[in-house]
Amino acid sequence: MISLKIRLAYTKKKEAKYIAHLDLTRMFDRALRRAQIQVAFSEGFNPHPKIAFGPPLPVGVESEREFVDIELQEALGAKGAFLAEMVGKMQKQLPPGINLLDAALRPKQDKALMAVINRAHYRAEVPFKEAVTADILDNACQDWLAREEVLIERTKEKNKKNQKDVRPFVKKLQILQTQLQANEQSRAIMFFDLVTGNQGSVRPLEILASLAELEQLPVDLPGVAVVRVGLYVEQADGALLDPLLMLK
Amino acid sequence: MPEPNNELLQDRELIRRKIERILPEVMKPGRYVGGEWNIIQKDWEKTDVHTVFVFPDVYEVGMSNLALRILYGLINSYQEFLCERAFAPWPDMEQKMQQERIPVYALESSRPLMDFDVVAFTLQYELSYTNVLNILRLSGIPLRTENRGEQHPWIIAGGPCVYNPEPLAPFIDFFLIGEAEEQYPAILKVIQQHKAEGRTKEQTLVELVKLKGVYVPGFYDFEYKSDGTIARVKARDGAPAVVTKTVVQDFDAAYFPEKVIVPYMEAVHDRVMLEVMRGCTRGCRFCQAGMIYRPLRERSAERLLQQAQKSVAETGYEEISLVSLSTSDYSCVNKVLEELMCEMQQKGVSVSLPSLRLDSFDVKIAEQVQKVRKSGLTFAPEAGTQRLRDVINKGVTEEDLLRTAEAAFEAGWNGIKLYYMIGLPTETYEDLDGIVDQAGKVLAIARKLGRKSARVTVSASSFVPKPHTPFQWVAQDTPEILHQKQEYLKKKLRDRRIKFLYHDVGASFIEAILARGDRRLAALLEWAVQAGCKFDGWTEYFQLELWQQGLKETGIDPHFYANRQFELEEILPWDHISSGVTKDYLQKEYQKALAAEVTADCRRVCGRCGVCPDIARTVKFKSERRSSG
Repeated sequence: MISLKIRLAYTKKKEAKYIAHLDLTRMFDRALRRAQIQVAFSEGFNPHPKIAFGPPLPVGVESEREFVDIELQEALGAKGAFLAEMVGKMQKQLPPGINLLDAALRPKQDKALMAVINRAHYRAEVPFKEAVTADILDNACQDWLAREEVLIERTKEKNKKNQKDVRPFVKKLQILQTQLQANEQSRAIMFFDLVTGNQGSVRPLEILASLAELEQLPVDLPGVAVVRVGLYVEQADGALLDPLLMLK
Repeated sequence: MPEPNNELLQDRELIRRKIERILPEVMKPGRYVGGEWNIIQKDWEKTDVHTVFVFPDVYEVGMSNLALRILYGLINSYQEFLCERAFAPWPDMEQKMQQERIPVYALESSRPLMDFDVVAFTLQYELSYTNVLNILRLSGIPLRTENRGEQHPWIIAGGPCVYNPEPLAPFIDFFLIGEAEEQYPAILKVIQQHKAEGRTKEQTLVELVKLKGVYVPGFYDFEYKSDGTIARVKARDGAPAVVTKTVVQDFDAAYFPEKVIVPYMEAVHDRVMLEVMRGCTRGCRFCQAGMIYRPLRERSAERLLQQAQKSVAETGYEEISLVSLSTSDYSCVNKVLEELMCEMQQKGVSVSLPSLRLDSFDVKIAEQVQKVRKSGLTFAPEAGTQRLRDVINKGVTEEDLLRTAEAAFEAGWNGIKLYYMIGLPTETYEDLDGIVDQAGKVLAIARKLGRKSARVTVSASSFVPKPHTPFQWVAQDTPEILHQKQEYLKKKLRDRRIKFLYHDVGASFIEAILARGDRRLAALLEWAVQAGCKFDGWTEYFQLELWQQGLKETGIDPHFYANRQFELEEILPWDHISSGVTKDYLQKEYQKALAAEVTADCRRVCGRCGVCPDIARTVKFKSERRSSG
């Protein structure tokens, strides 16, 4: 069977942010079937559609740019035109909040998204329970970054907890914008540059919870809105490449 | 316990914002956000009657329900009606909602139930009754009809449990008995007209009660004898002495939803469900569904194939299931299976059958059906000896079972599940030994075929006598006896190749009380929900001690309902509700059961149960030819 490997970039916003990572394969498979685009299936006893994603996005977190690799059964002539047409057909079958941004063909030996993506950028809108000055905020971040080790506790399965040092996973922690008037609730826009991939990762909410605990920053955690703004492949020279644009 | 009612949020925008804040802290937030594929969001202002279909269990269970799919699509197909959905919030969500004063809301519009004209519950199992009341409580709607006014929505209910509606009678304005496809729209038309004319609920009820299948519990009065049994039931003028179910006459042509909602989180039954037939002709004497869904009506193969095509195109589902009470009995099952599998394979769509009742099933076909392969083969002999199988009229012999087991092992299956019931009428320990024996024989066949790793799962549920069945009069074994029987089997089935599963005895006991209860049980339900009983069908939430305390506090004798042999002459709490099957027939079936006499499948010999032809006619298809009787 001739198959065709493609990579798509898409957003995950609005209600779609509540679609869990494990449910995404099913969602895409069904959308493709409605669009009458034939996905390739794995061989064997229990065939599953060849659809693969990058690092999981936590439920409730929006994203401006996610990636998915799909293998299709169809062969084609004019590749460029086919891709555009396919993206159009598929978009009609995707839920609000999932917008296809770009598509590219993958070469035969191209590595899986999970194998290559190692950096993630997030932006968070962070409200505070009480007034916070720019200095307090800045100092808290600096102090936190100055720590050699930051242990956080994670619950694994039932009752099992383990500790993990998340400090090595945080490359940058920046304040992009603050809104700290006396009358209104204080808010800040923060930026996170994080290491991700098979060796582990850290969630922005975990960092914010840690800032609240270790640096006494009065973060209103349930009010935080996190957006993943990009996923990257870090090169030997430190350059960050977009996993889809690098195929073009 | 403080009532959360007074200050509940009403504004849908505010509700939506508050939900957004609590969702990160609850399990499976996908249960509470809506927005699924094929959701129908109609304009509130442009529709006359606003209804919400409430499934009183968690989202992924409710979304698996065929009645929800049918009625959601059907009611929304009327321009003037709107139908949204609501489910029971899981306890973690309930707690957060109460903290934030969020009422139960409909997923389509985030509006609280209080905003709707009609709140329609489906009653699929007795152990969901506390959830019904809890949803009202969390919505700030008074539980009892007498405490609700004109400003409150109609609280109505349908589904299989309404064949004994009495335990919920004081809470529900009216019940819809039978199949809702034809009658529910007719009811909504009356409500639409009366709403426009500004009539009172009382006036509307007087009009509604004229419709077939509508039971208004407030129009009936019960008097009791000193021994607690019913002395008489009096129907108010204009209300029928007996309410007979409504039935879809032309099932083949009946409305069927192809564009169903596709959830993003996995539902329990997350696939296209094609209803191949309604009703069952086997006549198992313990089975309520087998009685109340009569007569048998099949859908034509042509129509099913069309529905399959459209459903896959609209939903993108990767699996189609042929559902009914007994799909292997469907006249065209082979034809439909073969054509579907042939057509769907290249679309990556598999075809499955519900696992139960594969007794008479052709293993060659089962082999091709993927889902069966994954989940293992299931047989339901229900009882361990031929004598007891004759008592319950389960037309399966041990030979059938062993032959199919042999074919299954030969075809490559490695595990077989056997479903039994314990506590059946006339059961003795010999019958329990029969279960042990059968499991051993199945294993022996596997050994003979060289399958050393073969496993047998024995699942034993406890018999619950159900209204409108030949066993409706029978006393349930006491919890102590059921427990002893479970222990006995547990001891005898100690074999590492056998896995023994059994149900919580306490839950079956409460189920029996509610199944055969009358309206005096309302006090118990009210007590239970205030005390925190909910999700009683879920082992992790069922609280027997609380129920027992409730029985004590309300002075209700549980054994009167669960463990008492009802007299044949006695007026039963559900005698004023008719499924079309006559009490006379049920009584004859019961007497035949005690004599271990079987009754033939009514496809072969009509048993004169009373349903055909007055209620509706049996409809079967044989290739292209249509026969009725």
